[in-house]
Amino acid sequence: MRRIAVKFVELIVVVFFVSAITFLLLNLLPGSPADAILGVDATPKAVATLNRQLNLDHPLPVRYVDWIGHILRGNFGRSYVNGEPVSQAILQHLPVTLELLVLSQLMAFIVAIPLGIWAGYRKNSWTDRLASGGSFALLAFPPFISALIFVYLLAVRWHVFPATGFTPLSDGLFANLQTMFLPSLTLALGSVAIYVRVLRSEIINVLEENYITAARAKGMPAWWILTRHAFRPATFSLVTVAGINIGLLIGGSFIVEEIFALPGIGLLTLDAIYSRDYVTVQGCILVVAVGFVVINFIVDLLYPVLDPRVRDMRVGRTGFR
Amino acid sequence: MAMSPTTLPSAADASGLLIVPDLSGAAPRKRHLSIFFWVSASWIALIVLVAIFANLLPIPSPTAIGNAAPGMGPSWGHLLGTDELGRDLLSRVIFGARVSLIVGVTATSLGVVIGGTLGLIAGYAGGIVDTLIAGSMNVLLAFPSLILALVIVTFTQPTLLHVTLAIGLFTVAPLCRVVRANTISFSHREFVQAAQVTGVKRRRIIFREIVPNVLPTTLSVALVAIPGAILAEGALSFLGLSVRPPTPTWGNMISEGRDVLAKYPLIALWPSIGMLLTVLALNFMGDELRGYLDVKEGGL
Repeated sequence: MRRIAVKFVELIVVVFFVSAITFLLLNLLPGSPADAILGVDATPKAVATLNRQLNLDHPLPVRYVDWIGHILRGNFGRSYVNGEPVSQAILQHLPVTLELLVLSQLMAFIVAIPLGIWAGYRKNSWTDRLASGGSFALLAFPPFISALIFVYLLAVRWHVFPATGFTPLSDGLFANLQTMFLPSLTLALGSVAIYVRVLRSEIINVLEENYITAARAKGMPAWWILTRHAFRPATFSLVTVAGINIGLLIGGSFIVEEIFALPGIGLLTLDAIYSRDYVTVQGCILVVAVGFVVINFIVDLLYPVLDPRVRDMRVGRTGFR
Repeated sequence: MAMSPTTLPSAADASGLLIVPDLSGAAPRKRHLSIFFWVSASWIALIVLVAIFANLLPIPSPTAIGNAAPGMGPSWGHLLGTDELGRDLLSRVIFGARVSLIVGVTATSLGVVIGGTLGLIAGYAGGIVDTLIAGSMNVLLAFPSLILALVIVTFTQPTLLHVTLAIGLFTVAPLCRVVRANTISFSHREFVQAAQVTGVKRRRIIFREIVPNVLPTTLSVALVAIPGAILAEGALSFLGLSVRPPTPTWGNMISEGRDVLAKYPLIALWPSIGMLLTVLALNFMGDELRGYLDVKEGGL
């Protein structure tokens, strides 16, 4: 309980800083909203009026409190471009991104878990060399290159999947998955590389433990030892790395959504950036950054579930150690 | 084989339980650098040299339009062919390497200098200073880096300087963490304590005793940060948020190639190969050097 409380306080502190930085960033950087809305050659009077309308004439801390108060009540403001509420745009776009992230992680785990375990179990075999070498090479592939390779081969050449576009889930699961497959696969590649590497080395370490030798001596079959005795301690690192990986995934999802024209939060943000739709950018960045922090918080809470040893560990002065 | 915090910008370590998987456990210390290390190093040397001396090479201008037919395949006049506007692709790939290398090296250097200094201070001073520095690094790591870089570049105009600074900002925190952790572990070692007891000045202890020991790890981590920065620049460039066309960058070439992918797939292929080989070579060199220097990150 104490651990969770400490973590929670930490979460609040980080969320405060993240929101403050998001707010400051878009307020302090050059390129004022007045310029963006009215154009560069607007009269000073028009700019002053607009600034008053948008509350831009108040000092920064006041505006921050005002802004965060609105956010907490679900009011992210209205887009400068089309006047729509930003919260509504975010709610419309968020499910697509979430589906993309979940599908890509499912794919990554389905491939990486057996591959990583096997590579670790048969260390230095040709399967291991192939898996290790392949995942090392995959680390060098940014999503914008692997996406183009998939689009060229599977969409342009062989017409297996559509190159871009999105069919919502309401139009049928199959049609939806058909448009989500290539984007998810692109995003999954980087994760596969990371997970295989982590799992392999974890399995190698775990297999040297005494209790594994004991299990072997009892004549337990290899698959039983691997899945029952070795996999669980190895998941500990896997979960850590998966949590850390979310940061990379979010960046990747922006690119993937842009390439495949998926109407997710990344595309929303990028469109807002291109059209200098300052309020929308701010809302999206806040949602993405806070989401990232919260996911890491949840990953932290998962440790005691996976590893009983952590439950008893005294968490002393945590946080900003 | 240890995975660097740079390839994995971490926020999970915001917890007090610093759990960094020690991936080096399986691999024994390497005595020799393999032949592939030198192959990688040669590729990097080649790319750096042609990028530096690009103006002196007998290649057509990377931006000249109209000297050749658009979308040509490889030929003697144009070894890699031409793009959809008839510009020489070899020349564009070479000039594009400049942006990637400049951003990669400069952004990482920023991380080494700023992050390294902060890490030394935090690790050696401890107490409230350490709390403040490590705390702000955790906040910095709580942002998905590409997104923040994207916003910074958008609102400050996409120039080489701004792109470098925005990406450099995100190499600071991982390097600070590595240096801080190493500084802490070295500052408790006997030779440092001996220096402290004999009344050696603090500055001298830091520069004579700690820095030389922390440096090899830092540099091998920095080597892996360079391809990370190159990929980040590539992503920004691909989204049109880095150095603007007509100046070629690998990212904006791939983005231009995407528009004509069905007709001229080679246009996107060459800069992709350039980027992949460079990133792969740097990753590989970092990995080998780590095994060679026996860098352990288990205790970070």
